[in-house]
Amino acid sequence: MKVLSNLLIALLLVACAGSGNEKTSESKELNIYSTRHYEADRILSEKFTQETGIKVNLVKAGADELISRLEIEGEKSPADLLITVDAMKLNRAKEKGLLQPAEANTSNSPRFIEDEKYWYGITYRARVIAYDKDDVDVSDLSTYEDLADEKWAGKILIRSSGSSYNQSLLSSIIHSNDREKAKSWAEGIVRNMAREPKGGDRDQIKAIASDVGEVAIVNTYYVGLLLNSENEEEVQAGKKVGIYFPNQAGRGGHINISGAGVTKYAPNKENAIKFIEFMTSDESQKFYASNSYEYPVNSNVAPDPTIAEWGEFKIDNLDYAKQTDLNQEAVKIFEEVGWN
Amino acid sequence: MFVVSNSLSIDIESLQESFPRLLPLYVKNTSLLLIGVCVVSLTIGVGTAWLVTIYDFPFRNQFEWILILPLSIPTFINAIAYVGLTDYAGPIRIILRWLGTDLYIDIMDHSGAVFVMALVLYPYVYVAARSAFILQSASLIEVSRSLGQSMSKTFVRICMPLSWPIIFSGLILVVMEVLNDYGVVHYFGIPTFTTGIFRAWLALGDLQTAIMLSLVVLLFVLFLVFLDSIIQRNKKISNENEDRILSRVPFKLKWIPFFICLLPVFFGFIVPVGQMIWWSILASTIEIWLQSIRFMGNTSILGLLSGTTVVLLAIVLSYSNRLSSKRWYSKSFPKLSMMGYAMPGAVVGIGIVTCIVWLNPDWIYSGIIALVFGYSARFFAVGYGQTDSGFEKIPSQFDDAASSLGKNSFTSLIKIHLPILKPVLMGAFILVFVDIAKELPLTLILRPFNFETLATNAFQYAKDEMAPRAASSSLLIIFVSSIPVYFLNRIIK
Amino acid sequence: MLKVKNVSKSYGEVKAVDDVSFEISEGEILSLTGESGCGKSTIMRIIAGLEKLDKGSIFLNEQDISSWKPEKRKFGFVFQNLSLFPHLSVRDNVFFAISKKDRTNKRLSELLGMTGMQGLEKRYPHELSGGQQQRIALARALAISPRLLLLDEPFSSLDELVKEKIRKEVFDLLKELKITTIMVSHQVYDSFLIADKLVILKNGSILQDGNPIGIYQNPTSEYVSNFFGASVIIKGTNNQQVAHTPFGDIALPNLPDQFSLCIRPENISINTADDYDITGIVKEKLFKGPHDVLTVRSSMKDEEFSFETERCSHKIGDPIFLKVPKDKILVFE
Repeated sequence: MKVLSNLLIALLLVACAGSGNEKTSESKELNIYSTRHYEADRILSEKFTQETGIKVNLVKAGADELISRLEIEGEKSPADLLITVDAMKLNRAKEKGLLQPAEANTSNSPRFIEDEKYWYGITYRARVIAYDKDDVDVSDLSTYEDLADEKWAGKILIRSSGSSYNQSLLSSIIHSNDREKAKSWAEGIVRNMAREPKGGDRDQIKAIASDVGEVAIVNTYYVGLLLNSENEEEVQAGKKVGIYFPNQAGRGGHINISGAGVTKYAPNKENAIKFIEFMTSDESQKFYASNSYEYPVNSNVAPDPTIAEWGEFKIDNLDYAKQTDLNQEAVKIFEEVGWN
Repeated sequence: MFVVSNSLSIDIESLQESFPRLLPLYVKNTSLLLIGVCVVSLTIGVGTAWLVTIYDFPFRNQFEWILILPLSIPTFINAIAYVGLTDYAGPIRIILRWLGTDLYIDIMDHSGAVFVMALVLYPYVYVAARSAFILQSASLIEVSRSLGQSMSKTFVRICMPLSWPIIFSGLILVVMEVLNDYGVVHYFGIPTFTTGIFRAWLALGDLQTAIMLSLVVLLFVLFLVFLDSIIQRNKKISNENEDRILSRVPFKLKWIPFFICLLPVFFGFIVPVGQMIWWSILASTIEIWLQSIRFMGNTSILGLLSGTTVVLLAIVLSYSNRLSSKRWYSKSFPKLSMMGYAMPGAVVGIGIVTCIVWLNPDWIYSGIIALVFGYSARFFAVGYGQTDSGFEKIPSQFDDAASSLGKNSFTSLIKIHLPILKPVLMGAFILVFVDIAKELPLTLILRPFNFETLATNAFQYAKDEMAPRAASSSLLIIFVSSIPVYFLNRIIK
Repeated sequence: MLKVKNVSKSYGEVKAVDDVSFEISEGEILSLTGESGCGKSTIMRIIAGLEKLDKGSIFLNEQDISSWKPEKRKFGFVFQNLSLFPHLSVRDNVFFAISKKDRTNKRLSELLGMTGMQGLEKRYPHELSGGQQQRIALARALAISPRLLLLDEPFSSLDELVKEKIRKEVFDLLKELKITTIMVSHQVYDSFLIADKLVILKNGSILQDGNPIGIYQNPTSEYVSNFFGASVIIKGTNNQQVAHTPFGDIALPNLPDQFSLCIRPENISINTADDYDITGIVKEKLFKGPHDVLTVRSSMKDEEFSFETERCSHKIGDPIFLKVPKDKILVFE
């Protein structure tokens, strides 16, 4: 018993000592709450530390949890920067008064900077239509809206509505049409589904390869991953599908943007801005483009060959994301139409 | 401790309109899962425990602990392993295509979810059932047989009724794990209470609905706790004056029990681990392994610290309980901490952040204290259940004897109860340790900066749909929890 | 009726039962006895089918039942610990193994009546005393009308006062019902009371078997003789057909070179210096109610023995002269 309690105390002391050391130098630190958990981000942030001498401390968790945590912590929050993979989440953080505007010197095209500079884009991905090259005639594809048409009955594959990508897509459809139309679209998709919505984006493409359905709504990032998979069979599955950018004649294809916003009570605001500038620099953006199958936000940088192969495309604006209540609206519609 | 999880629900009590509409769906899906997982876990757990305790067959000794191994696999990891195994790029389909045929296998549905969960949760039942069967007086079985009752009749008429209270407490753990699972149901697109709570609270910002949904779950848990207290109360005292071990019955076709026991191990351990190994061969580099091994240290320290904390708390509570009243409600009261266990981890996580900020905000930033605190709150039920039932088995004459010898209650705790309880406490510690090694949502939200555990590392890749890269960390989780699982078996003996 | 033939059983290196054979006829009561660890319980469990035998066979009415499962043999087994099913009431315990249609109140009161347990049918085992539990266990075994009843140390878990009473009741009942019974007991006393046949075991083998009184009177070994307790053992050497012992010389026929003399205390009488067989000095004298227990030491002070005798006037230190009829002296090599 005694041994146990001694051990306990010793371990606690070690734990405290270990973390205590990290907090000493004040301005040479940067605390980030991030939902991005990618290898490329880790390498870039190490590079950032090498170049600037600023130590990067990271907590990675889901966007909603992090926002809740920021809210609860309030002024006491140690976070300087909030990074999420969805503009709407950043806007929600802004509305809740968790962010502050910041002046960063970037080459981001203006559409990837929040109007009042509350956040800056880092990368983006497109939500596109993946189709079975053997069974689908490309000329049949046109828009997201068109997928609700009867001709796709029993052919559509998509993941569950719990995915923020789907919530964001439906939000943009509400935004550019209206609630009624959006709802009947969702109803149409549910009707046309080849199977219950489930799995991740990769699973949808593999389901096309398995001939479960013919058309899937997926995120380009995962297609990129699949095509560069270690498993040769996954690459084969990826090669069976073609990528189609919908709504090119209209508002453009839907994108999910990753962005970073300086928190309201950031103790190291300067460092946070430096970090944003570093991440959006030409060099970092090139690194992203060639390592993470995401599209660069920096207008000077071209995308990775894997994804560049799918061609240039027109992207929709991010106006929908300003109406953060649309996301809730979208979730309600999903519930109403029985899209799990 | 359990107040922590409830701290969320203090504010509001009004209703929202989507609540009644969604409730039936959640009830239906959650009950389907619960019933499915319970039936499968009971069948596997009780069946194998029975074979291993009563019969003699090849490798029986090894099976005793091998059968617990699936416990070391997190349900979510098991799910991605099985999806990976059966999807287009998985080995089964590759082989089928190589054979010139192809068959679409869909594991991502209700029965699939039941399958992947039950396969790694049945050890809770197995462990409980086996210790119950071992405790059972061997002569009862022999009496029944010599009175002309076959083995199976003896099982139904004698062993099950006598072991049921203990088995039930194992089953409750399974129920809790199913109730708090988010990973599998989210991935498989099955709307349950957990996904509902997440959606209402985090995506809709609708606290009322989230609380109402949580309340339904909590009511159910309350009901279980109540049921448990009734079952435990009706427990009949068994003969305790016997220590003879049952001489094992030889099985005529000795390979039949061997294969029956092999089945759950094969599907619950060998197959997922095999898939992981295949993935790690595909994707892991030495660097990834080295990194994962570093995270293994974090996981172990957390497990040791929190496991110890939980056990210490459980001792204090059980013992003070023992010293004070013996009413059933005072016994069931700490069992309410089960609620912390039944709630989805992320919800408990936010609750604990609230609680920590209220107690002492510095905790969050001072290393792993917040995590230890969080784990202790969450897994207290696991440790307490074990410890308390251990205390119950010590006859009160021991206390009386000690106090008549002039020992105060603290000395008698240290000198008498704890040494007797050592195996039980070790068992409780190990269960908590394994749970912590697998825990994810709470760790994500409560961990300090730059802190990775095996589970968070595996999850980040899994979430990114890069399952192969998650393999090395997953394998290490399994490794780290297998060691204590091995000892757990020796303790039961 | 039941024949145990050349049965052996080992646990690893240890031979628990070594080539044991005996048989029991219809209506007989056989008692297996010996020190603990002699293999008596193992034989019982082999007969019940709870333990597998390594060699030999068990015959029931000339049929080899060695490979039968215990449930097929249906021998009622009453264990030494009170193994009632704790979750069943007395009624359910007694009726445990009989078919639903036979579970009549008449049968119940019959069975409980036999064992003197009427009126307790609704109780649960933990509400009964040890003696009551043992009687219910017996009723439960009798309920299946067993071909053979097996009693394994049936009274050992009862306290002394109850034991005597229950023992008598059970034995009376067994005799009355004429049930073929094999009983394991480490108390020889049980065998005298009831057994038609006694089997004495040592280290897994049969030392002697037969009628209990016959064995008592004519034990074939010092161990058996000693087993009944209270024998006086005197070691001696052969001096031209005269037994030379520390307590004097006795002329005996057919003496081996080295031997032990075994004398039952009831055959020893105190006599005078002019007519005696053995002699010594009173070393200790214990008062034991109507009897005295005397410890006698040899004149060379190198040997001693104790025996129970009627009250006598000898004091400690007095010489004592004892007479033993020659035909009551047993000689063992």
